[in-house]
Amino acid sequence: MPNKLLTPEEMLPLTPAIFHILLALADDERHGYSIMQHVAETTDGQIKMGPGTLYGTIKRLLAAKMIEESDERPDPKLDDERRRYYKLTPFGRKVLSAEVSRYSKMVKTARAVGVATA
Amino acid sequence: MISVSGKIYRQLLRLYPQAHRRDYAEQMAQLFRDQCRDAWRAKRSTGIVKLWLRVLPDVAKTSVMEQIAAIERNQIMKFINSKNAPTILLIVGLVLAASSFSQLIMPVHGLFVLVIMAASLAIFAKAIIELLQPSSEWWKTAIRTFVLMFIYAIFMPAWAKLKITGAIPNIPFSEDPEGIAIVVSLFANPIVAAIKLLQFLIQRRKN
Repeated sequence: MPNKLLTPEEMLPLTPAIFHILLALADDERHGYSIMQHVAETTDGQIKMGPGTLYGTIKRLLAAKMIEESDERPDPKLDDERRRYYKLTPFGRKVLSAEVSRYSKMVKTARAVGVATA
Repeated sequence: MISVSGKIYRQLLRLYPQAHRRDYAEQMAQLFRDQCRDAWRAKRSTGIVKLWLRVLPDVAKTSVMEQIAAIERNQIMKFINSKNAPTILLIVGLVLAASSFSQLIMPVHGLFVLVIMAASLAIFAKAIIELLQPSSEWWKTAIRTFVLMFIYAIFMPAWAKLKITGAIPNIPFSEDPEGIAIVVSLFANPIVAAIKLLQFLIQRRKN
């Protein structure tokens, strides 16, 4: 990840890991396990991230200022262990929106040439 | 089994760089415990085994990536990647070239001395161009420059000396394909370097 902040469009295309983590944080702040569960659910189990991949990607997203740490608190749904929560930054939200726009254009183009979606 | 797996995973976390472990080891261990718990609930021992089959490649791949990233952040690598590096390579290359000239203080074959000096200076000029106009790939040119200077400094005077002492028979050039090849290679690089220098000067004039 570059040290200098780029425009949202310059950050594209996102890797699948980055895209899904940003997507997981789009509606709520989450801790690592919650992010991993969200990704597994939204991809029907196709993407199952290991701790190394998840936190390596989180580290890069923090460096690129697309996400930030929120606070540390227990998750009432799990146990009383304190967990570090993350949330999207405004820049991260713009990058996610830019990537979704890119996907939308691709789907629109595919449909225009007769490629049916599953 | 969850507890044992957790302990083993903690040991595997040592493969990651210290800075990464300091910031994320607890969270990674916590996530792994959560995954173990889910795997055990779903499929007991089979689930744990399947989890390990996923996690081990993840550890192998990401620990290497993090180590490489840590090395790139290391101060020594920063220095090597800095603008000082081409200068250092040049100085080392010139010292090697200069040390080889002492083998060729032979009045009869002053031409070889001149040619080798011209080659070294041309390579030097090529490296200066890269120093002044560094591209993202300048380090490849710097390494090539250094290697070429090393080869010229060591090999060419040795070959010339063998020629002088008669260890390699002095046969006419036209019947000496090795000699022709060596002389051509000797001139090729300085010609390329001279062209590059000319291009650089023209570019500067335009800017």
